[in-house]
Amino acid sequence: MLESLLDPWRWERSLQDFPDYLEGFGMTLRVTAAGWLIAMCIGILLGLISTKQNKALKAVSRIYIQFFQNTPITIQFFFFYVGVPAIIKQLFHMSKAYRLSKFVIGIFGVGLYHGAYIAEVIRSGIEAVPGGQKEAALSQGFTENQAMAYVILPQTLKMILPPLTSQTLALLKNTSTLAMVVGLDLMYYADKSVGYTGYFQGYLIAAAMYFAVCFPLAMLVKVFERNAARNPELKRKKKKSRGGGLI
Amino acid sequence: MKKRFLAVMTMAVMALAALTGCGDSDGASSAASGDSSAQRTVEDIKAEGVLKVGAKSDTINIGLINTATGEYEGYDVDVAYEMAAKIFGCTYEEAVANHLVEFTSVTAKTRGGLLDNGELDCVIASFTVTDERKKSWNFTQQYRLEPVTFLVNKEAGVQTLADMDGFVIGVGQGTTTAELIEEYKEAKGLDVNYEIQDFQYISDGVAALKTGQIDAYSVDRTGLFAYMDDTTMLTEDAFGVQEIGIALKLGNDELTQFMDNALTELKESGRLDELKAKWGILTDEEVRAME
Repeated sequence: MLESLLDPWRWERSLQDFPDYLEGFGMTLRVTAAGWLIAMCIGILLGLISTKQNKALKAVSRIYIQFFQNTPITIQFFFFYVGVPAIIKQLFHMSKAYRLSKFVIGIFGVGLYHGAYIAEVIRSGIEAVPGGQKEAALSQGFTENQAMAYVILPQTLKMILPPLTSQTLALLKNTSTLAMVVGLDLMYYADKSVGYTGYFQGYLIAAAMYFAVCFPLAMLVKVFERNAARNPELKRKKKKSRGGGLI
Repeated sequence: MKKRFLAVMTMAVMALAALTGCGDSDGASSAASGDSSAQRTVEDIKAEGVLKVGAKSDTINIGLINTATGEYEGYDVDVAYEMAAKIFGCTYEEAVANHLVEFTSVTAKTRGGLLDNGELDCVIASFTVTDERKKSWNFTQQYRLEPVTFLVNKEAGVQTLADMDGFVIGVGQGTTTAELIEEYKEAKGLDVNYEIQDFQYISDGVAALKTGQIDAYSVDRTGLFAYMDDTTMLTEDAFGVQEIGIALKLGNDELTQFMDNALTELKESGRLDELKAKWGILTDEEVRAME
């Protein structure tokens, strides 16, 4: 096994597919970027709703978060691959099957899923700011929204940066699930190459490419964590704010 | 911080070196020559009492796990039992009854590695013989010839590749099908554009075809034939005849020669054609006539 791992021919042959890997890598990065934007929009919206008093809105947000956190992302991808096109076809009475592009499947797949986690990060971040801060702001004549925007959120931001970056990292890695629905992403092309050649080297090449973008993000998490720890007032609450950082 | 990073990296390198037996040079040379002491011989298999075969578990008539009995069934599976019968000097029926073959489900991605690390004696799983693959594994002569064709939805109203302009065509991951379609297209001088998408399992590809996510699925004729139903059909195309052989670990010439001889005997006695008839597989003559 190990001798075949060192076989120069196998490396050479696997590297012949490198242009494919690059194309897939481009897809992975595009899906990550756009998927992250969707996840952030959903996360901020639901995160803020979760801290409000409105019970109906809160319930909607809880249901969304629990649903997406407690079903596998793989099933969600298949839903976008097969389910959504079928629904669209029915709704618009199309004669031919409708197809979503892999990019669209990808960004909604990771976007909706990680949106649920980011919402939790943001909710716990807001809740970690001591209640006295809000009371003080309100007593100074700030409205509820102004207090949120000028007093609470700036403090929240520093705390949520580490778990938020972890989520970005997890989102990037989870785009590889797209390969299961022929996603044309890096994992798909790695699978394709390894499937054809039977040489494990293809996976190592893909792993190196994922690592090259994930490792800096992981380092960034460390930097943000140190920054967050520097704020003495928030230090006490730090543990609480890490809640949503699961994959 | 920097020191710790260095320490971790050093440890990682050392671990890797330990894993690889601390030597690039001897690793490379044994890879080239194929370590003969590690090769399994016919005698070894006899002593162990079981032939370890990598088989398909998802392809009807070729290699499929019967969910009722848990047993592997199909043409490739029967070839494996015939090989076991030759090795252990018994009949096919005895080989089946005494479980002389231990099957492991393989896919295109796993079959090579399982041969390399010696977990399997051979792979009998629609493994197409190519010159490139001969660099990494030993192959016997072909035990099955397969033309490639397309499975399409009847309502699409297509007859051949010429009608498939703008199609998304699914192929099996790890197969040579994509190249064969391209060669076929050039040979016929067709002006069609299509996109290829790879699927890990034939069942995934057929499901994608039926839900309209792809327009056609292309692979071995036998593989496709089994998935045909009221809504789908095979096109008139038959091209890129593939030689399917038994794959063994690189350098295991003794076992390769033994199995090659066994296949010659099965062909001469007509036994192989008998098995083909049993599983609805085209004989070599029928395949040649189709081209």
